[in-house]
Amino acid sequence: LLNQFAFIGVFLIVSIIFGVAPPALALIVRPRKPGPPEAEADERGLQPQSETRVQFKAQHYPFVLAFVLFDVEAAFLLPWALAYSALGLYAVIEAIIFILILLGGLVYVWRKGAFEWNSSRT
Amino acid sequence: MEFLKDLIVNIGTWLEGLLASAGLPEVWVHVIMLATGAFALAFVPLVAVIFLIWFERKIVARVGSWLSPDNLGAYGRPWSLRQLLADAIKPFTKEDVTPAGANRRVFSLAPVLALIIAVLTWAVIPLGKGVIGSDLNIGVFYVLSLGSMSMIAVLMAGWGSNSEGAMSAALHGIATLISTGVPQALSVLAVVMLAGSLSMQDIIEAQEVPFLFALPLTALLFLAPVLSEPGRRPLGPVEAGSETVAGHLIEYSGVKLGMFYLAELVNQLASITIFATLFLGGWRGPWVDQIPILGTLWLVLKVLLCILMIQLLRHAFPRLWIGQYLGVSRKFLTPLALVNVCVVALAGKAAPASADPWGRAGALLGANVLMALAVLGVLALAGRRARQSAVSG
Repeated sequence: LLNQFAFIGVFLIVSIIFGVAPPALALIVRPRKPGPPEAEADERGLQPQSETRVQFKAQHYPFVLAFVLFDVEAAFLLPWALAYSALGLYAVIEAIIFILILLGGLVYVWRKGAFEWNSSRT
Repeated sequence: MEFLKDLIVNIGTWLEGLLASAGLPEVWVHVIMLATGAFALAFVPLVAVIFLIWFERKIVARVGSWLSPDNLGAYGRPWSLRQLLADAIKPFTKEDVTPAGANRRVFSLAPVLALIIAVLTWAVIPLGKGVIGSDLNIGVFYVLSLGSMSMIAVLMAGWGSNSEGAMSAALHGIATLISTGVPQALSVLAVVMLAGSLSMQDIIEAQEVPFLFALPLTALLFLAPVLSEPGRRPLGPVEAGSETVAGHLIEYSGVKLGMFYLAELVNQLASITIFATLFLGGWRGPWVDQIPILGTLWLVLKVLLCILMIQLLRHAFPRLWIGQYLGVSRKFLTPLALVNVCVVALAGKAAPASADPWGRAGALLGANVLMALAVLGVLALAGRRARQSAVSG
């Protein structure tokens, strides 16, 4: 097992090399002629209208909260799924009840309108 | 001939024997083997992606009936493959502009991080019988967690650029990735349940019958986010043309832009290969027991078939805008994934593993068909109700 994680460690180092190599290579090869028009944030031809780092309406934050819930749920259920073939019907039904409770949470968030994309409000 | 039968494993053993006979201490042999394996494995996706681009261009050009860089004639011989070389070299020769006001460190680190995460996934993807970087006992979990990490690179690109378009596109992209991550993680649960393991090789070994036959709905749930890989049609609003111009990559140029595209393609290839591993049996196929190298060939064929299918799907349907896309993911895929886990759990207990594999697969398939009919019924009902309220309202 340690051997397997050792490979992941070595692979991490290798992939960092692969990630850093292209910019390093480009640093040597690429032309360098910085001029004023290129240095602006131009959005491909459109000038920025206002500041970027402003407060904005997050459309999906209730879903992100629900997402945390479901991700934790997936993490909880993975060990259960792993042991599934060894489990009795009782444990399976208990897990299903657990899922159904969370499904209830999903329906609640849905009824609250958190899943609707509202483009009219700003 | 014996050597060719299990080529990749034999090269490894041969190299190890060579190093040991050269009189190196055992620890160094081990370290050199690990490093060589890691380098070889990291090259696999990067080289494969170049041919993926070529394959995609061929399909896209035929679907859209247009001329693409796969029709270079005499300049690109053979088969316009020289164009790929040009594509690989070109980004390096481009000027690299960092816009004024950008956070330089975050801006430059984002593409590096994106590529590192994309390459890291390949550590646990089995490429043949006994050919895998590291057969982690948490392989699937490792893939899922890396999938969530790629959001960080998107956010870094958007925030670091410090321009409105890039930032809003990055937020759109993250909303997409979050929404698709949940059904994908839940669909993997059903596979883990049947395989009884999180290790990729064990999941392949468990597929006497490919899981596609036993769990077609789960396969669809897994494939929907793959179809929606950022920036790709029909479900990919990260790079939406009319809404966000070029997505979170808008301010990038030169090699950094190239790295983002490379990371995206490597990720896409990884998802398709993982799909082939989880649902199509990976390297399993006839005669693999006698000639293990055939396993790699089967895997490549399965992956090519999946790419062909996905590309045809992508170009047959119009693009969804982000509201529709998130709606599909939240109101349809997520509840379906939850119900799917319950149904598979019950059906799996009704048809125990001791029964013959085809019988069990058939029982699960029946449960899936029933569930699909129920889903279609619910959709028809919801559609009718929506139409009625539209008429009366």
